[in-house]
Amino acid sequence: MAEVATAGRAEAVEWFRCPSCAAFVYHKRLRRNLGVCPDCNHHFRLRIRERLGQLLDEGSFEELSEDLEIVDALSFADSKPYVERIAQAQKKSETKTGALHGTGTIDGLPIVVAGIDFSFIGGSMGGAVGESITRAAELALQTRTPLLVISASGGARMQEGCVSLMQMVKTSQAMARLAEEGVLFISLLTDPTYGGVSASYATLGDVLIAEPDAHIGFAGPAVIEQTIRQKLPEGFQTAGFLLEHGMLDLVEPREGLRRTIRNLLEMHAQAETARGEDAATRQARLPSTEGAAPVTDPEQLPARDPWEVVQLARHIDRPRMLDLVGFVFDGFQELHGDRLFEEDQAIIAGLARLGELTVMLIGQQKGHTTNELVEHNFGMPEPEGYRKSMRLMRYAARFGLPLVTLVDTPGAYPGLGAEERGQSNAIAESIMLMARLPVPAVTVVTGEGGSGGALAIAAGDRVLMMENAYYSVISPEGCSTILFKDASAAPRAAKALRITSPDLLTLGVMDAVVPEPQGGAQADPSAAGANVKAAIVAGLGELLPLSTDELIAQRYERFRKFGTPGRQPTLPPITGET
Amino acid sequence: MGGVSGVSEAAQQADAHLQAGEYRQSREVALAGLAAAPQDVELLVLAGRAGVELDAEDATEQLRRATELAPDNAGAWHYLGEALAAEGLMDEAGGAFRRAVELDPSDQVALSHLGHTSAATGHQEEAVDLLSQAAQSMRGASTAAISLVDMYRSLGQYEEALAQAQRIAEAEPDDVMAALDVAELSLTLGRIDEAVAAFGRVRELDDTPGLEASPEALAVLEAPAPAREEIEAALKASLAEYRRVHADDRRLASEDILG
Repeated sequence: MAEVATAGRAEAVEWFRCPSCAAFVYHKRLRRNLGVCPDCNHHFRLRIRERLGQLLDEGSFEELSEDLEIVDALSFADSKPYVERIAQAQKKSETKTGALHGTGTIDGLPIVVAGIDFSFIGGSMGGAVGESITRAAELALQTRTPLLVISASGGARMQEGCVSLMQMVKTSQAMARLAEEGVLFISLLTDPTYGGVSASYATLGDVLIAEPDAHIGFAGPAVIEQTIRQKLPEGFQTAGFLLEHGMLDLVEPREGLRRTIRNLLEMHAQAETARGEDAATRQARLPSTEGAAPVTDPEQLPARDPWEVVQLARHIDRPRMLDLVGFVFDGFQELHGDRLFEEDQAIIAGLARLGELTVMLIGQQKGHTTNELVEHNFGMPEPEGYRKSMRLMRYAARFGLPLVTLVDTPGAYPGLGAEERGQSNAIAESIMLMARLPVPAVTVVTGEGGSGGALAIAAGDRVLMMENAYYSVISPEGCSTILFKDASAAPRAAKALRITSPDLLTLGVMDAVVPEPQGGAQADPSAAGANVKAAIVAGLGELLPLSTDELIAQRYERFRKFGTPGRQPTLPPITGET
Repeated sequence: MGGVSGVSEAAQQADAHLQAGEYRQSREVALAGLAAAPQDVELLVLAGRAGVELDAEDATEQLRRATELAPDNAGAWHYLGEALAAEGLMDEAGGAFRRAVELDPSDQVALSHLGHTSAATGHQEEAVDLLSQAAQSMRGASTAAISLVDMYRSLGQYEEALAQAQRIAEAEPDDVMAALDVAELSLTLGRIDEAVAAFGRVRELDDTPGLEASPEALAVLEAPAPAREEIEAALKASLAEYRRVHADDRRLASEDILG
């Protein structure tokens, strides 16, 4: 048996010291782990072609950027001419311009893709990079194909002066056209993404995804520290920091990126196809349901003491928003952030699949355990929650996605910060936006419908409530204190406020009521979920055939009638009460 | 490591494909050959090596089988070690590399691998010893030499680390990381003048505006009579990020070579 040759292998470095945990990682182990340290999950930087190899179907990438050239418009020179630096960078990075674009597929789903290679002059955006990204966006628009742009950049390229600066407009206006025409743009932010790139197209995606611990920001941390003369907090400008501050939709480890992007593409492909379909075909996308049909006759609903209903609505085991997601929908991709200040987990939102229909789902989440309740602020949103909700309502409008909202809140959070950041305005704008949204909207009050905090996401075409939910202008406790001057009179206030499903159905506030299992939804969450699903499907089934004009006109009339003499139904006095 | 002799046509073809980076073809040819000669160690090794590159589930098993059939074949043990290291099984990988070195003491790559697996399994002193042996026999900025600098640093042996970094810098005068190691280690040892000179060399090697090495440190160094505290503070602020970037660069450059 012959010996197997192993000579001539010493030229390359085969073991890398992880810069994060200092472990030695064998290069084949690192490659197999997609360039992620197996010991600490540090994500090493990738070349753009390596990245495409991880994300796209094998052999599917067709490059369209071979003819791109870098133009030295300024004849720039520092310690050496720019053209020499370009030559150096080309040699180092083995790319011609540091950017590329083309077409490919992910699990067979077509995509236009563009990306920047950080190893080419720090991924800085000059004319060629801007050109590549813009061409990709224009191709995506022309073919109505989703666009993925992968960024890793220090910012605008100094050597191209204001020509570089203009790439920020050039790319941003191309993305604006995609937004106007409802063509999906996914922006993948990798380590690092800064300056003129983060301040232009890269943060304009419909969905912003970053890898864990990627550094993303406008000004670099050293510049900020020098300016403000303060030490920056641990984790400043990392992906986690940005997610916490509402600036990203998702932080996705490298191993999940392909799957996540694929899910987004699939949901959007469904939406794109559904957009061009006739009403009957769109309705056929809705799933069949086994739940009980919603009730529209108040007489068919059991009479229950309002205070008992309040207790049931607040029951700790009552199915919450995320429980219902599992019972009602066939897939859910959460999207985070208001892109303004903070991620608010009192409101959960994202794309959901209902049968073959992609919808935008927005709901208030409480949780069941103490930790969950705290994490979700007991279902009480701050302005950021409503602003996240509005961002995603606009997303739904751009892509023609029906909207489903699930309401379960004691009310908007009454806090100092919430007031400082405009709680009232956030609720008002949310109501106004939803009232004129050009897509069908179905709302279900699943637990507590606490006043304006609930209404902010409840101005739908069909407003439904679960049998043992309540919906009120104020909590019974609040009303008893203010109007009855007696904190213990909450049960009486609950009765007087007419907050139960039969009364609200009679008043026209509700269009239908979702039946609950015997004893309440918490007794059989699965059955309750099936009934919620049946109600949502029924509501959307009625709305999908309507044109945008019809939807908006009918919604206007739906809310216009309240309090109008002759149009507002009334309830008889409560007997035996004062 | 001995030469190849008596190889079958299939093995020659599979090896040619492997050397060309055509792993799929290499593996197909090797597997086809194994269908006719399932005990052929050479084909098992080739199928296993190509399989490692393709993340094939049975690649390690094929290499393990080769070592069972030919327990004195140093190459088979060497490649089994690489397959196990690729799976993160460092203890087993170390055992395979140790056997490869025992059978073929001239296999410096296996020696280097053994040093790294020793480090990865917590045997720091043994790792330093093995990497030192490998670094001495391998030229320039070898994996072993580079890792040895890191090992000495992590053990607080800065004099040894500096000496090793200087050897790399002399052998590879354009290696910016080696120059940076010399600069940092000189500074750590309080040799300010040497550090200033070494940082100057770093700047010569890495002068991309906005991306140059440790700009804050260099700015301080350019000031007249900078205090040591100032230099250290500036270095601390900037070196971590710079080293991280260059760790990636080194990996990317190596991936180009390794395929």
